[in-house]
Amino acid sequence: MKQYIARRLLMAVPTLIGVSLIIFVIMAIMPGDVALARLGEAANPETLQMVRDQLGLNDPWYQRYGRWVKDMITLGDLGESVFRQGVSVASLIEEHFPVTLNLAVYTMIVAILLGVPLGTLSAVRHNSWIDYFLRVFSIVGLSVPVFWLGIMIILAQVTWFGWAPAVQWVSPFDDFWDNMKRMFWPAITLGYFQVAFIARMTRSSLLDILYEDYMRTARAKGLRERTVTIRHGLRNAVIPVITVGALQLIALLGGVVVTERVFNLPGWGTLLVSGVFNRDYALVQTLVFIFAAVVVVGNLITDMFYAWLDPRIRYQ
Amino acid sequence: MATQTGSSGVLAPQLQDTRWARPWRAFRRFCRQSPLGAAGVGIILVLAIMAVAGPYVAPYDPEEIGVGPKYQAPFAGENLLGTDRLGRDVLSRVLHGAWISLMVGVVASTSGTLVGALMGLASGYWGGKTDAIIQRIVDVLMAFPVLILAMALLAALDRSLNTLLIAVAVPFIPYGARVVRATTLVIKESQYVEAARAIGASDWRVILRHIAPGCLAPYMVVLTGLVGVAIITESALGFLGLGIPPPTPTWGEMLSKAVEDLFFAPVVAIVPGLFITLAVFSFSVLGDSLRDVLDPRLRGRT
Amino acid sequence: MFGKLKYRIAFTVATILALTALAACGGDSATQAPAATSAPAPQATAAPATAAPAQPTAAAQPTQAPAPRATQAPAAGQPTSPPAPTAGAGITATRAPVPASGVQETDYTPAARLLMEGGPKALAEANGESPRYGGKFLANNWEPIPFYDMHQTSFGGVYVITAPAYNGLLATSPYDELAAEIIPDLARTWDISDGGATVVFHLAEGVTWHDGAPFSAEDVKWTIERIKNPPEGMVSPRQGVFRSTVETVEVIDPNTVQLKSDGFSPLLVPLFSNGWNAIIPKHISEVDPVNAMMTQVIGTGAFRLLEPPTTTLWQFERNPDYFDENLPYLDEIEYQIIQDPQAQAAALLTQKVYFNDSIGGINFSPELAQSVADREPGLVFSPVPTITVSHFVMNGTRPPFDDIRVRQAVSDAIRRESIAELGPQAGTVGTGNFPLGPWALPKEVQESLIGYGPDMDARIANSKSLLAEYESENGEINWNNITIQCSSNITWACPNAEVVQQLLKKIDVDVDLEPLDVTAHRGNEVSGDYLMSLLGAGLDFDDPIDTFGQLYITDGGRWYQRRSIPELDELFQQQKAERDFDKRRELVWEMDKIATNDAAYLVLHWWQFNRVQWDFVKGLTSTASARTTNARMIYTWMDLPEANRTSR
Repeated sequence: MKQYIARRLLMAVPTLIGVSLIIFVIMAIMPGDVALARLGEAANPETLQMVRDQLGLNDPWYQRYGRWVKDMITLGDLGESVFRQGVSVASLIEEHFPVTLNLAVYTMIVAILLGVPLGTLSAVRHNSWIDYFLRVFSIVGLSVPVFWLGIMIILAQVTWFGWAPAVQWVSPFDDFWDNMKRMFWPAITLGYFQVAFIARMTRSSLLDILYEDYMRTARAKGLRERTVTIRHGLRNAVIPVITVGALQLIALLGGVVVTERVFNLPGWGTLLVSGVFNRDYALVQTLVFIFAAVVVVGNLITDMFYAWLDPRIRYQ
Repeated sequence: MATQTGSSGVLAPQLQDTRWARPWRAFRRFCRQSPLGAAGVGIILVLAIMAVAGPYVAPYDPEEIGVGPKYQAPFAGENLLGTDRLGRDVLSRVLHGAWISLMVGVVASTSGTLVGALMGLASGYWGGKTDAIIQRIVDVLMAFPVLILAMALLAALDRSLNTLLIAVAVPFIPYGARVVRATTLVIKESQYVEAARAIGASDWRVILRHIAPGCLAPYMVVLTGLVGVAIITESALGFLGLGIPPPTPTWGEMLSKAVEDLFFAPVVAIVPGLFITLAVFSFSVLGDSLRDVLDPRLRGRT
Repeated sequence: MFGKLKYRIAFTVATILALTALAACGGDSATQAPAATSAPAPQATAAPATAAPAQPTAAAQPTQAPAPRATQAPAAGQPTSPPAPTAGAGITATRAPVPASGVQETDYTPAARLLMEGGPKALAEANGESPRYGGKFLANNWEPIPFYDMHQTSFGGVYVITAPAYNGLLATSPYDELAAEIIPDLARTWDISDGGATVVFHLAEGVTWHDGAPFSAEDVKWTIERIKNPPEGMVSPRQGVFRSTVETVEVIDPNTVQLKSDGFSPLLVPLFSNGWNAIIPKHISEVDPVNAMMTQVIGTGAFRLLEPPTTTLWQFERNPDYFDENLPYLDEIEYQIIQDPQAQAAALLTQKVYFNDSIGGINFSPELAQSVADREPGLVFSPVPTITVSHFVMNGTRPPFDDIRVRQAVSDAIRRESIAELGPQAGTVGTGNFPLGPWALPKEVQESLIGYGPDMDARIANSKSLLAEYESENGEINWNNITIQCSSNITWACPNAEVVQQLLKKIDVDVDLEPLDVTAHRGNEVSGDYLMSLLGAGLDFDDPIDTFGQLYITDGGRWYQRRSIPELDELFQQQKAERDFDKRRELVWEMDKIATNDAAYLVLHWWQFNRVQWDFVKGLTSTASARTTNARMIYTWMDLPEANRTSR
């Protein structure tokens, strides 16, 4: 097991280096000029040159790349935001982190609390009208664009209930109720997709397992169907659901971006979009890297979890 | 779909002897096995007809401003689905938007996964160093959430249909590569491939004649599912303001502009969203049904 | 309500008439207001007495407006436009036999008199308000804030969000919609001498900075000189206007500062009533002149930061040591940063934000503003004209736009009214001069110019023949290679460009749009890397020195068209030195005609800001200049139960 972990960790290193290189290349060819973004209408060739020198934009690419990598490895302030002067990238990312984390946690809670039971129900009542209904429900969930769903929810709320999302985010530890008022609908919006996904996963893996030999044995022993399903079926079905579900929750990062935009939530997604618009390459490159790193680390953890559950994988 | 399956009874005898008879029977079996998938095919056909014929049947030029009063409600005036903020006909824009959205969805996902599929073939077939390198590339690309990679790419490229296609296609490369590599590994070990190699068939011949056809089914399953993801990605980019430049109508762009007018002209925002949902829905159910039908392990279970 | 459109128009018309009367001291066009010509001397002293009560009634009763306006001319002329009153003062000064070095009595505005004599309460009461103290005001700002130093940017967001912490030397009346009626701020009184070339400001006493350090005239000198001669590495967008206006700054004693300009300058006093030119602390700024103010917000203002700002929230609390013991009225201000119109509309509807106007607001489309106001009876929608233009620029240095015929063809094909009718943004059609101010081109003159004729068919025919003529000489223009650049993240820019694009189709010109990020787009305009471009320009003063100086003069601040017209530059210098309003206006109109017919920088329209606010917000008036001192919110109060105190 230790050897497996070491091997997987080593494999993550070149991946992260590749990720950072791709991001750096993309940022390097990004048109628009951050010096202009900073100067606005006061820009002229002289001031532009001045700001570019200040920001080190005139240095060769390997120096700039080296600086960035060093910044990230030393885990310091990750450099200064190019657009917001005097503010470090680290502090911006830190400031926006709780909102994204909050959204992700609530979404996961919604997804698991609803997804697993619905999937189980669908599998157990296989080919009944409930199954059909739930299948359509989950395919629709996978099809509705998150941003459109969010917009429709806001429209309905404003039109019929005179409610609008609060402007400021409040920490759930400060005021849980205020926090819920702000986060409930975003979590539902983003959660629908996840619920749908997990319900489908649960259903199909449970269906796989319900036909396995040991399930027949369990039934043959005369156990009640419910006991069979829950004790033997669900327990084994949960493994693939968790692994794939974990992957999916990582991929949810894309959904976070649009959900935060729709609900005007000050999280990483909003930060990323405004960074792109303001040509704040220092912020964008680090933030995109973090998004990718979260995925890589998430995959790593999932793999290890899987290996721990299923020893065969370690020797592949 | 009901009419099509119904009329098949009439058509079938005539088709029996033609070369289309086998696919037709396969299709009928598919419809029987998976009515939901058949519905998906039906919706896709309707949308495809819309996309192709849209420009000819659209009542107005979708870019022309002031064809009706601004923010005309649907069914109220001469514009069936009303007008938008510049007095443009919403129906015409939706029809034209169908072409861009479907085209980007299909072309971007196909080209992305096709590049990936070639990488997967090479990786699986030759193994060794080739495999190691390609797998690292795939790992790297896989690390980016689709939308975020597309956003980063579009931030770096100028905005046009071509760059949009590239930006949406690139994130799909690893998905094509993974499925094809896995299938290739299995087929490579099969006896008939070993036999072909034993009689001296070249690598290319083996790949083209034996391995590629075997990969087709699982590839198609993955691809169909990804078309929907590509459509959503395209519209999300349009929504974030990174899509094809206006005034070209796309569903995502229509939505992003309509959001500003949400509280007094909601229809302009509702309509494109419905179409995006419908398109993604139909590709998802088709993908599911194809998997059910093509994956023998699942046959008969769903 | 103050915001009703017809009153606003009446007010504008009234002030224009008053100004015409004032300027017509010579008598050639004074038919409207004989009173003004009759007694120029006693006016200055007589005015304040009648002016104070007259003002609200003048705004409320349009029919009576011209008369009282005219009689109180020198003082009431003030609200019309910043430079004009000073010009008036200048005229009086030269006519009166005072020695060149003598000090004349300052023509304080009615609002200034009220403040000086009765304090803020008198000013409020004269405008029909009796303010109460207390409450937390919820405001919004739509721009991300890159840094906190307003003197280094022309992005309005930075100004607006830091404004409550600062004071200027002067301010404009919180009730004046044209942001021109000057009132005291840090300078409690001021004397003008040398025929308008010298001004001495007498500063308030006992003023402290938010960190406790005392304020003095040295801070004023430091601020002005820093803007005028920025240290190496500092960007100073208002450097130009300071250089052309302020010659020297001299500290006479800790509470007195003297400014001199090189000869008569109409902007010498109004310059300091513009919100941008707030006074910053020398002791903090001098430590690191370029960067110190970028990350700190320390002023003398009525509000101070409660906590370090975040990217989405700025919180201010009342400054307990504020030098005017009667101000401010509010206890707290909270600025939220909201970037989307629909989120802003929802926040307004649910009272998470109390107002949306040119002070930091997102400009709603008129339909959105109306629909929001229709949902809640307490929400009031009032359109406010602003001195901001939407422009369509053609690069005069690049073919085919280096040929005047092509530019004129494009200009004539663009029906200006269509932008407001079809685009997401309303506005007033006009030329290089603000169409609702004293310099507005008369309608019949305007209609004779390229792009403004009443007969659209004739204009299209004219455009086509101009193009045909050009193409017969130079070969066909390949419009496929020409794009209109527009800013994708400015809500109105690309939709307006779509309107223009469709209008051009009528003369068989089919061009594509090229949406860019606003920073990249503005950069292209500045560097000339474009062929056609649609964006806008916000101006500070309704005065040709600012408007033409920025838009049309060679190397002006927003001279994006890069068309140098020597004749126009010459006229510009002439009008600048001209003290007679009428003669000056003739020159200005001549400039306007030349610039409009040159058709490189097209003014599509002058914005209307669609203000929506809750009716309990008082003492905060939307103004033509978006960068008004009203953003400091010193006089803002709320008619809410929670605001229930009678003193600070």
